[in-house]
Amino acid sequence: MAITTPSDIIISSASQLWLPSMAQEPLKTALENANYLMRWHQPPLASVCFTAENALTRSSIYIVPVMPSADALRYSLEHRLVCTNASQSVTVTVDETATYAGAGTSWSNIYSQAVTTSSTAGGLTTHTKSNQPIAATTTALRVTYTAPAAGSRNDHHVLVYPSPSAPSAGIQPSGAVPFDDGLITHGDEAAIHTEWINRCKTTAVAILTDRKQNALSFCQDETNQLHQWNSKGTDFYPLPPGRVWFPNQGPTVTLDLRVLGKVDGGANTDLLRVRQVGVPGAKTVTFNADETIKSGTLEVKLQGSGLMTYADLELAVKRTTGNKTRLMSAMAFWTPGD
Amino acid sequence: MRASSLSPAALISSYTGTAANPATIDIPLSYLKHMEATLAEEGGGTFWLAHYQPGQVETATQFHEVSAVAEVGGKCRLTIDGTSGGHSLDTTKQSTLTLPPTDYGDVTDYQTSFSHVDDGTTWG
Repeated sequence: MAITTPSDIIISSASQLWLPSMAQEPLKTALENANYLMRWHQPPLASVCFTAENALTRSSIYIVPVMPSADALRYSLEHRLVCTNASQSVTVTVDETATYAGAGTSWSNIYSQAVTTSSTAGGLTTHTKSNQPIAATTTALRVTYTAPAAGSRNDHHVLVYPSPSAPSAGIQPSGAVPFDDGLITHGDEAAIHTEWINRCKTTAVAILTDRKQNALSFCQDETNQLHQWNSKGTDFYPLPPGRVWFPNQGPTVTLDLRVLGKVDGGANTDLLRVRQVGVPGAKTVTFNADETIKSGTLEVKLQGSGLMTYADLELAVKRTTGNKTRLMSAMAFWTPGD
Repeated sequence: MRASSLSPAALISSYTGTAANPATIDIPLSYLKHMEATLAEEGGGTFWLAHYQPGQVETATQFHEVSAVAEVGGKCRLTIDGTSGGHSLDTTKQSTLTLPPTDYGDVTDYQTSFSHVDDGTTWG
């Protein structure tokens, strides 16, 4: 008896499905494919190209709102940055919190590591930290890079994706249920029951819906927030739209939004906006810039077709007279089926 | 070619007695007719069901002997005369009852008419 996790998903051939004898197969393979999904379904929790000043000679901090798995999975993090000078020491720190509250946030450290950057001046440094648990209750990550001793640093990207260990026994908080083959392989005489048939579907759906997929990201350096949108009157000031691809999805998709912004003073109501553009009747969602992570959903009408199905999304910010508004982060997450 | 129905998998909602030695077990009412038919085939005797917990070590070594079936409180209540296998019921782990393997000594003809591995029927 064992919970077997295949290294590749195994697709039964058509001939294996033509009125096969009532045997362990093809059900056992289908159930082990569910184990495969639990181990190897790895959509990006966050994929963020940072917005920051060029040539930083100081530390930078990014707040990345996230929607991690209910299963408290391990995640791997890949950071990419460039230093003008070769072989610099940059300390990479990642923290998590259940509740972001500005300067009063209580952070828990996930890891901190001094990284020696590329041995080539101006070369790309890729730092990977594997298998770091992120709590199911986490709502934001804080990514910090320290200044190099010499020269400057440009922060490029962070990718966070699930890298769970092989499925362990028991029903997971997400609803996923691993498959142990002890009963089905018993003497070739086990009952073929309805729960096994249903488990193939329910576990696959649980995994697909639990591991949110980052569809849109914008995070700028918390230290100074380069874009303050303080010189464009009090109308919404939009960023260029970003195209989000949803291959073979539609006709609509509903995204989960997490948006974080703050003001220097004055009212903070409805100063942050996320909307779809380029489609008649596209929907709009606004959020308060109150220095807490705001949640919402946005239904988008998909354009294009097949693999080229997409939606164009726009972030925008406005201010009140005499005040500044800072968009710190905006993230959109897609759940298959939504 | 011979067809059969899938074997039932009845999620246990509650029980009386102890987890290791239950006196009664409640499962969804939709299984009442199936359990009554099994009991009728035994002429008022007893029949056995296999226990497992999804996602845990799933074996064919845990059984409950049923001596009576009745509708109680909107559930199908099984009166348990015996338990073997050394297991304990755990509703948080979704303890479930299905049919015994066909090599189990006390499996009934009615129970073997439902799908089992290598029973001569086909998927379809």
